[in-house]
Amino acid sequence: MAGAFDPILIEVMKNELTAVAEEMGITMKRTARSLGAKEGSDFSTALVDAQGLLIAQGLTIGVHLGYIMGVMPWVLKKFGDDLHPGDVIVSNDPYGGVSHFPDIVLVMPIFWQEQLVGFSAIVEHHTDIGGRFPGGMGIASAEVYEEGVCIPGVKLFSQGELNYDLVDMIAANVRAPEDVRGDLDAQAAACRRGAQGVRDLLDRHGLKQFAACNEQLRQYSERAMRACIAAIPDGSYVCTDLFEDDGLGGEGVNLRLTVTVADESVRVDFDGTGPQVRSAINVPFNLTRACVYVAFRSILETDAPANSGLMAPIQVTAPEGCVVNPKFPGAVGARGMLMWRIIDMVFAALAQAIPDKVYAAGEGGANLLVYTPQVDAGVPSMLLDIYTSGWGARPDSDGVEGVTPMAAGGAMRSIPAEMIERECPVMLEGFGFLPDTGGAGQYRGALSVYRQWRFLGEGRVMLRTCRVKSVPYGLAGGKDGTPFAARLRSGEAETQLPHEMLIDTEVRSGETLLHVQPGAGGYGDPLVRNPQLVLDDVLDEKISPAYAEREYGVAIDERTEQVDWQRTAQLRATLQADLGG
Amino acid sequence: MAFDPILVEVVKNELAAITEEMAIAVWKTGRSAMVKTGDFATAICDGRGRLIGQGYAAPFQLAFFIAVMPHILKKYGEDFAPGDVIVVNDPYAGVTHMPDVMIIAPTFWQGKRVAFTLAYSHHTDIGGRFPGGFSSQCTETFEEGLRLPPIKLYAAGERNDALLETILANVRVSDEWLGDVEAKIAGCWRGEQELKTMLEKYGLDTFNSCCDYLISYAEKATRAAIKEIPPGEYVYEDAFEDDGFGSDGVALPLKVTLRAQGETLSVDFTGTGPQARGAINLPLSMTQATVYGAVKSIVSPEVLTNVGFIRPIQVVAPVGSLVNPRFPAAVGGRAPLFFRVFDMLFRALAQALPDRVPIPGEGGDVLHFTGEKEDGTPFAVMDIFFGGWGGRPRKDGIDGVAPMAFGSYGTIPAEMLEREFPLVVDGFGYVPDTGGAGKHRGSVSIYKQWRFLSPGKVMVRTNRLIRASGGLAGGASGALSKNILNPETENRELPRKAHMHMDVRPGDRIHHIVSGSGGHGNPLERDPARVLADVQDEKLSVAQARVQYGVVIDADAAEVKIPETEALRAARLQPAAAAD
Repeated sequence: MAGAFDPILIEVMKNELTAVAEEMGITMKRTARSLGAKEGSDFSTALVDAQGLLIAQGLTIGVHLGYIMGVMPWVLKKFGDDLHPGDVIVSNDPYGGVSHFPDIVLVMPIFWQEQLVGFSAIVEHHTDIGGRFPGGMGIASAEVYEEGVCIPGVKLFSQGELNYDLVDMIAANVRAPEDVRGDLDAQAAACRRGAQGVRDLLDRHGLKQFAACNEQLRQYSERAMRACIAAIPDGSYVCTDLFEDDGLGGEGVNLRLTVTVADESVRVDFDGTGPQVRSAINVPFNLTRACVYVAFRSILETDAPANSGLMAPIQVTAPEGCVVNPKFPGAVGARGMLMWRIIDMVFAALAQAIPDKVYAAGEGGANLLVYTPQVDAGVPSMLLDIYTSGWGARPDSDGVEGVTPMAAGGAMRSIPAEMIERECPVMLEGFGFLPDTGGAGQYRGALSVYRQWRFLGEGRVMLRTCRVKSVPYGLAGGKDGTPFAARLRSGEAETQLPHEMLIDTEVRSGETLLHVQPGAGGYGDPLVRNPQLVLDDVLDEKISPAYAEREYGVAIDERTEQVDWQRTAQLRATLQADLGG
Repeated sequence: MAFDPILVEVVKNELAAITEEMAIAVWKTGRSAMVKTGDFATAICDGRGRLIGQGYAAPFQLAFFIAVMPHILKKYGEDFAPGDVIVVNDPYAGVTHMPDVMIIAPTFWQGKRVAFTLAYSHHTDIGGRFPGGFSSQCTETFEEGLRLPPIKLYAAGERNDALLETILANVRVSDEWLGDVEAKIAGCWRGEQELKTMLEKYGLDTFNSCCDYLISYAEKATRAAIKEIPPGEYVYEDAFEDDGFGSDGVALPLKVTLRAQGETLSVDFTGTGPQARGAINLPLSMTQATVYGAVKSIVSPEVLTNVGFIRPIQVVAPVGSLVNPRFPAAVGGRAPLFFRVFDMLFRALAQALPDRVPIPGEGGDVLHFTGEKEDGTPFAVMDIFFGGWGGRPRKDGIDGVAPMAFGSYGTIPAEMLEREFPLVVDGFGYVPDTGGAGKHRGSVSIYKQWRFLSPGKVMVRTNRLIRASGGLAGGASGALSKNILNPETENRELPRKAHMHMDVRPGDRIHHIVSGSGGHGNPLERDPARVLADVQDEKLSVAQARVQYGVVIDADAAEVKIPETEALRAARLQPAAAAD
């Protein structure tokens, strides 16, 4: 069969591979300990071939696309011939191809008929990894040494035998040792499931067909991405931005990227981006690259499988020692702050070339709360609460509301209130939309999502918001989104918290914290939004009638709950005139 | 077996010799300046994990070996094999603070576990937020560096490479870190060889009987020594002036109550304040170390250093207090409080045994300097040094040595520092007029001035910036310590923080002055000849001889003017006399 093109077999193989990767994810979700994994699904699975190239991904966090390929060269170089059935390699090393310490990758070599045929891999964001800041994402760290335990790509299992002393040592250095131990076990189980799945697949098809199909699938995805790029007008598209600050309250960080499209290939270069900073917002290059990949993946309209072919036409370069390609020992725990901004910038650059394909800016990135309550004795408990917000408006539809950022995508979700309240001394008092927020447009940016907690014990709280000094941008005439706010209430007194990316404060029992995330940007002229959509929003209580009139020039008859077309036409004419157009 | 006192004595000395050989092995093969300067200890425990002999070490270090073994035995039970090497630095498993890394190896002979050999040393770094790992400005162990619970670095002779690589990925200057660990392992294996030879000679039964005897002997001797303390309660209170962050107006309550009850001694810290946010807390093992070290030095200096010694001593340290914090409280910067509690114990004992107790002595200040050499490789150096002994009931203190309780710590020679690291020791000497005045004088301040040749990060640990070492029995306090930046130019005094962090540029100089020790007895009773000797040694000025001691010396410092001295002293001793 080798050599002959069998489209049915290829399709079957594609789906089988994806199913194997998905089953890895199901295994993880069903056996993990932490809330972040079992409820939030903050992990991704992957299958790679014997050369370390991606062949399938499942239940994925969008920005984990291609992520696994960062660590594979290190694994292959270090272990080379010293790989055996039952081995599992573990790494969280940002300077060894991973990302930041909470992201721990497990990679398992797959053997079939005594031959190494590939690897199953899974990356998960763990609850804690020790270091100075609970959650491992503190911004003020100056070096990686302060950020937690570095695991430099070593064998967690050696021919099926767990390195207990290694796990004991890691557990002694993290604030949620049971979560970390349990999740590592679950990750290993997921890897084994993946390995078995691939072996079953090979039993059915044999290695030649497996390799041949993978090659066809790779070429298919490469062709799809090339076609997508070819549809973008050739040229250089520059986006510059000034990121909030350097993480220490100092000057903003200059970001610059140039997207150069030449026929079917694209190069994204970060030359002109400022140097790495002495805080933890630096982005390891592996992740910078993954951000670019996911941005292009999201404008790809074909449902091409996630494999290395997708990435082949995309080249990413960044000067060594800049903030998106830092050198050891630069801290990287809070790389999430800039990561989302990079994605937004790629879209903003592409918006110059293909405005109808690109979305307005979302809330800025996954925002989160870390709460470490005081406990009387023994091991402290911790809550890592990462929650959803909403997308920027799209060229042909509103931004999706109440979901993870597009680049997180996949299956990541907020943790249900019931689970949080069950496992941590906190009450979730509110989680919902704030009306009259988000950027107006022909298509509306997602409303701002708020979350409110009441702390039942005193402790430390760290609240992270990715966009605090800027607002999500609108596109093509759409309005910018709305800003962040946070308030701490203690009895009758209420304090507005400062516009800082990371608010690190102590709370006492009974205090409540309200977090208002930014509302996303709009797309297109609000004055041409279909008034029926405006009516729907008003009836859904997403916008008020007054807002509808002010922003959209749409008047609603409150008695009949219908659009008042006449008044609308007048309002819109007036508003248009005011704009001078 | 019939009791053979000669055999017991021989075995006792052989055990001591073995631990010394272990210490020599560690000392000669260690990589860091700290090991080369003596900041380590070696010991032997019997097959049951009881400390039976200690080598080149300070009295207080005995407690760590005693405190750690129950944790080791609890985790491993009987699960030891020949060739095992355990590594641990966990302050909540009996060690002291995380830069102190202990190696423990079981000794097997004829298939049985017969002993343990142990060695620990202070490493130059342990990862974490601050190079050195012993800053007071951390709040949790997670921030301070890598915590090693008891784990096997070698299992049955096979090294756990994945574990070792992971540890090394988290510490700065990892080559040196590993070198010191390997030196300690070498020391432990040396001890093992010597123990096996000894067992060949005597057999296991005899060995165990001797250990039993030595332990019970030490206990009996300690009981007898404690009996000499007049029964009663002796209370001493103090206040610690640093919360770890150098905040103003800090006064953390410290209290110790000694209860001597015939053959047993209770040392009770009830009344001591709650654990601090900063890393100044003493883990329980450190509190115990302080008590055992102080009591041993004063009460029973002749008694053998084995576990029997501690049995008649009870330490009461309330959980959640400064002297017994709860995990994960940071403890890296516990040394200044350790010195202070030591001081308190001496002063409490001085109430009970006034003729025996000296002022404890000063020192233990540290410079920690990290950066990159010209070729880009990182360096880290820790320079620890001491001041001297306080005034004693019958003699002066001694200038320029480690305080009594610190055993044989030395100072790193300037030549070695300058050769290996980008700094120059501009000066190292005495500061006149700073020793606590007394019939028997306390040690003078020592100054050390460093000049940095490379940019880098510096942490200076300084004791006694705010509260001086007080005198006893009428003696006066020693001088406070001080740090001055660039004395020839800026001449700026640095902030009075026990753990002070700063960046330095090439050419910067720090002039560090270690506090003086308190004096013992009335200065007006000091032998004028000794005052003159001090003046001639330039440890005291002619002016201060007069002010502090009422001794009048001629301007050329050739002789004491006796009549003037007698008159001056007589006037001063009269309470109603006019001020001089």
